[in-house]
Amino acid sequence: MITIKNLHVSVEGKEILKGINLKVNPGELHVIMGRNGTGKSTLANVLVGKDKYEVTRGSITFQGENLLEMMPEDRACKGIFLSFQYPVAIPGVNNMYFLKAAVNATRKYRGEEEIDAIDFLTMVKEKLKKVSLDESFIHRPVNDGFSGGEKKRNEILQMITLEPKLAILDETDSGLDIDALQIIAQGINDFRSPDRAFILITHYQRILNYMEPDFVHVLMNGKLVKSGTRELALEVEEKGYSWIEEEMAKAV
Amino acid sequence: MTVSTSIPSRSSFLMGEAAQAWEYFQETGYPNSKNENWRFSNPEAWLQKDAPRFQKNGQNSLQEFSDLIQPDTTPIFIFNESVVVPDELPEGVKIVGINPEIQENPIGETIGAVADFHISPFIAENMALFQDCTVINISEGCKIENPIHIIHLIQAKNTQRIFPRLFLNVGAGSEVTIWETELGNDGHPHFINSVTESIIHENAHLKWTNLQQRNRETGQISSFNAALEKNSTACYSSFEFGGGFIRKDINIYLHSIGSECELNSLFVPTGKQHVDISTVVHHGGPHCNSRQLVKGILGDKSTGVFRGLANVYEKAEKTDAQQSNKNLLLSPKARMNSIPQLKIYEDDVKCTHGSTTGQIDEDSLFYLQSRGINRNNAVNLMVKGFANEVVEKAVHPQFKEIIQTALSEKLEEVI
Repeated sequence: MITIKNLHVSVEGKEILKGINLKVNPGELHVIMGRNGTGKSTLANVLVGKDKYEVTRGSITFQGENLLEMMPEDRACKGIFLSFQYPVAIPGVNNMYFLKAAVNATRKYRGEEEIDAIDFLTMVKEKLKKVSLDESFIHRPVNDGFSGGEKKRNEILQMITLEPKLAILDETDSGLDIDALQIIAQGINDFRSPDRAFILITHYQRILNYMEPDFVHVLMNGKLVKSGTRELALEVEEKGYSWIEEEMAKAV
Repeated sequence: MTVSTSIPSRSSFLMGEAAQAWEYFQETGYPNSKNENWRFSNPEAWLQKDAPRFQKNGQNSLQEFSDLIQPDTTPIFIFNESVVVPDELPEGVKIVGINPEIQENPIGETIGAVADFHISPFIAENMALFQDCTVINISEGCKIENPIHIIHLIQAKNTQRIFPRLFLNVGAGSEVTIWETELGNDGHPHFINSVTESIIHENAHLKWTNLQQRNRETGQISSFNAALEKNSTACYSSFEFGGGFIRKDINIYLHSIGSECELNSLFVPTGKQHVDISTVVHHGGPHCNSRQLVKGILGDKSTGVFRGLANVYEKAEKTDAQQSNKNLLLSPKARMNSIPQLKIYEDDVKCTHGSTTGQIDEDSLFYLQSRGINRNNAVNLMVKGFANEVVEKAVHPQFKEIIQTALSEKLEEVI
């Protein structure tokens, strides 16, 4: 589905990613772990095309196409979705109006007809239940005055409504209490399918108690230095990251 | 320097005030940018000093304007300065066009009682030079169901100087909703100096929404002046989309007890349009509230001014005055001057004000784009979201829709 080759990325002249290689196939769930400031969010933002991130080397291919040449909105329409670590609040823009505009933009891109207001409402009501939010929620301005947990659930609501092929979840589990975490994990699990892939970026092993990752990678100093299965995540949880650093030092 | 002209023929009961106003105006002349209140809005180029003062040219036919009439409203047409009094009016509503033939004041209130000509040379000029005055009187204790839709048209064969005047008297315990549509599509550059005044008597409630769409050649200087009596409320919302040079003064007098006023304004200048919203809320009496929300969306090389003052007098205890001005610049060449002010001479009050001017937030735009919405549509969504806070204040769902359409058309020029 997506192939990242030798990706180097700089922000304001400083190199953050120093040669990332990653291949994600349909149906897979990849977890990327790492300390603060190792470039996890940079990777997420590059995938969706945020402009202050400069790709200096390497390539990203999404379903056979060069992703780096696409506008952010085209990437979204082709099926890439990022659940933001810090979703912005947009006062004045109604959540439902926004979501409908997003759904219709994707439909238009695919040459499909726009969804009508009644069908849309029926669909959204269904999706709201899955993230345990009541209907009043969609009549509020986008993320405005939302609690941390509500913002994250709103991201998941958008994800399951827009139905992307590749969902990138940037610390969607951070700052959630255990109930909210379970709701979100359940929302993601229900959404998994053989033709859909996930990249889950996290600090903690905690959310992995509720899901089945196919691969776990450790991002360190701008590179994916170690890959494994769930056991790797447990090991990191138990021992921290230093042992990986030591292992790397020995290898050199 | 002033235009040489003289007071037109007038109803005799108005001659005294007209003469005084004329004298005052002769002394002050027009303001220029040296005057603090006009520092960012120099009207000089828009006064059409060489143009004739508008002369009435017979009855206008309403037929050709019937498409402006909205269902479930009472339409009132005003052509230039003259009202066409409809044959049928709802019970409790009386409309009089005070022309020079009318020799007695048809209402118990004095024209000019609220719009004090000493506060502005333009109010003085209007007081001296208007020919007809439209008076709308709402009797005591009447709840007028349908909105009164004032359709104000400028119709002239060439450039004119026009002085519309309107007086609305809302009787005690009454409720009325006014829509005002200001149009002007004859294509000539006019100078319009318009004065509206209103007394809202005890326990009366007024809601007024104004949509201004003059032609781009027009310079319009207008004022809305309202006095609120005990326990009355007024909500005045204005939408400024048209005109070349627009200056709107909103002067509110809360000199009694327990009254509330809400002022909302949205202005959207594009091209080289200039819009200036200047408000003064006089908190003279105790236990009065005022809310001001003024928002500007500025495109191209347009310029905007907000000058807002809440003036809280001694003994106006328990005053609650809030003022907010927010502006969005859509172009690096657009300019905005915002001067929010508070003058407080009483301790036991709650007053706040704030002003922000900025561009569209790039992070918010990116958020929308990352959900598949292209940049243009994302900008549109955000600008409308910004405007929405004011649009929501429009008096009636029907009028709201008209304003939304007008806003969309206006934004198409710049987004």
